[in-house]
Amino acid sequence: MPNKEAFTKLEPLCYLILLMDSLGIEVSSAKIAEVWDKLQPEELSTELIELLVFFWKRSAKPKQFSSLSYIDTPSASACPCTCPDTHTKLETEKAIQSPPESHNEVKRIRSREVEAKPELTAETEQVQGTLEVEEKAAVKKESANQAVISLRDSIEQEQSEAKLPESTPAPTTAVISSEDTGLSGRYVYGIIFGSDELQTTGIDNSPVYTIFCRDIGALVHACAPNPYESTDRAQVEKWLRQHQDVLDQAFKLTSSVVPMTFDMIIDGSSAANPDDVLQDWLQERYSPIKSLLEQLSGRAEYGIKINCSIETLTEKVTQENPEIIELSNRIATMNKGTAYLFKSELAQKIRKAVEEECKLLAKKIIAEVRPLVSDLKENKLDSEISNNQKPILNMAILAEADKIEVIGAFLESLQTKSQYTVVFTGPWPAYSFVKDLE
Amino acid sequence: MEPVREYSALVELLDHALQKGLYVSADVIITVADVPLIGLNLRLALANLQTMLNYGLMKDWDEARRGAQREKAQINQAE
Amino acid sequence: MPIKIEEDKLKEGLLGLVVALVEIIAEVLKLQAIRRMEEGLSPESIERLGQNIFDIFEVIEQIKKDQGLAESVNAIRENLDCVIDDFVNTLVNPEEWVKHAE
Repeated sequence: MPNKEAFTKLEPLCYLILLMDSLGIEVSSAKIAEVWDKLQPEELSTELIELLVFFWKRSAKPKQFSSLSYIDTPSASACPCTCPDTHTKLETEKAIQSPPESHNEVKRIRSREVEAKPELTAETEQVQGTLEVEEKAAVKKESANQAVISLRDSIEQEQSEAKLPESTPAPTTAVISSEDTGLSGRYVYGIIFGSDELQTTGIDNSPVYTIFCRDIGALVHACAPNPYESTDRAQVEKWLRQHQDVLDQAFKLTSSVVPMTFDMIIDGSSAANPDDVLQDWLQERYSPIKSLLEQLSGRAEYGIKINCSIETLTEKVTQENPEIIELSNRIATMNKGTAYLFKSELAQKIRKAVEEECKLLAKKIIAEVRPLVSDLKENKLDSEISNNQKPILNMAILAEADKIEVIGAFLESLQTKSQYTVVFTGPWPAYSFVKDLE
Repeated sequence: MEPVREYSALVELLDHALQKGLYVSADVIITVADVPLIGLNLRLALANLQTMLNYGLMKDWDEARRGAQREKAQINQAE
Repeated sequence: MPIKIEEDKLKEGLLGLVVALVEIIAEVLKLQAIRRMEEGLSPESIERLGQNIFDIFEVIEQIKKDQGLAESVNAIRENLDCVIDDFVNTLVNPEEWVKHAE
């Protein structure tokens, strides 16, 4: 039969267990005893622990306050907040720099929360209750802070072997003021490898900076969380050029860029710090992005379009295709009406043979180019456009810089020898070789 | 004289459609200045003659024709 | 599908349309004739057929020349061909369905 003393301890004990579990501390009777001693429970009341739990619950919403993830797993992306004088985990709301000195401040902060998150109505009652408690527990709060800080220190001791990854400067320095709710979107130009910071201006002359996550970084600028739209063609062209410029500069700097399509904007308005949203976004996709960067490193995309004149093709076909030769000969012997019909049939056959020939030529060229490049992607042919030129091949290749000469020479030989017209463009950021990351 | 255009998408399409055969069921209203004047209620089967025969349509006509041709051939032979 | 007729180009438009349709039908007939020929026709039939179809086209060309319709007929046929090309491409490529839905 549990004694009375144990009962009085029961409630705070429950809350303590809850707290320990949420902080990632192992919940065992030995641990509980240890923590309980550290916290010197005689000075703490149930209400105070309730308060602590309440703060923890409020702040532990997933994906909104990513700076809270530093205690969990080694793969956490946020900064290691090891400085003891920065905010405790329980009080991280909206990047508060230091624990509130007076309970007035706490009241103010909490009432702000109440306004900002009306859906937490269940907790608002608790807030009312705890507000009263606050007045009583002003002094105790101070000691609670200390207690929690020391608690956290001990936790960090436990987890010291869990190495936190090299990453960003502390969020405090990199915060684009979240007060500026107009600029809660982040326009992503692309993702680079490495830790070099690219200083430049991008679309609409916005300052471009890099948000790092481990060893990759996203080139962004702060913007409103709406896509750039315009019916003015010149304006859109200007934006596209600026977008392309940033990527070109990045390519010169790092030689491995995963380009994003135009108007790729991450909406960070749901979080205190939109940069964190982007960091999480990078973190989630770290592996695929990393492997993509490795595939693209030192390589660029080039476009190759090859046309051939219809005349040359028809000539070739009429001279080499046996069926067509036979038919032509037969027609020469026919009467007028018969010849007329057969001539139409001949024209049909020639057309089909030309198509076949084009496909064959395309295959041959691809076979020759493939060993020279890292990757190759065939695109849809343009429909027959200009002056008797039939498109044979339209492809994008991913090639290393030193192979370009060889490829260029091969294409030159095609152009002079066999009367093709070749259009060789590049280098471009590897848009065609980037698989969908979403 | 050859037609200028060797290949027309529309002509090819019609050719293939006739090869397969078309069955159309339509209500057509012919109006002038938004005033409906003539109504057409149509059911149309359109195809190659060979395709028609394959489906068993126009058999009678085909039989009659073959009959006529046979007679003609017989007359020629007799002469 | 409304067919619009401009008053000052009425003759050109209307006649052009008629001749274009006749030309299209003639070409379809020619293709069908070639098919029949491949399937088996007596040589006299083929000769007769060929001669007639040839004559049809001769007449069409003559009419176009006399009435100055060549340009109009070409334009109409090109437009129709474009419509058909778009239609068939959309049908054949599922990606196009998505684009059209947007």
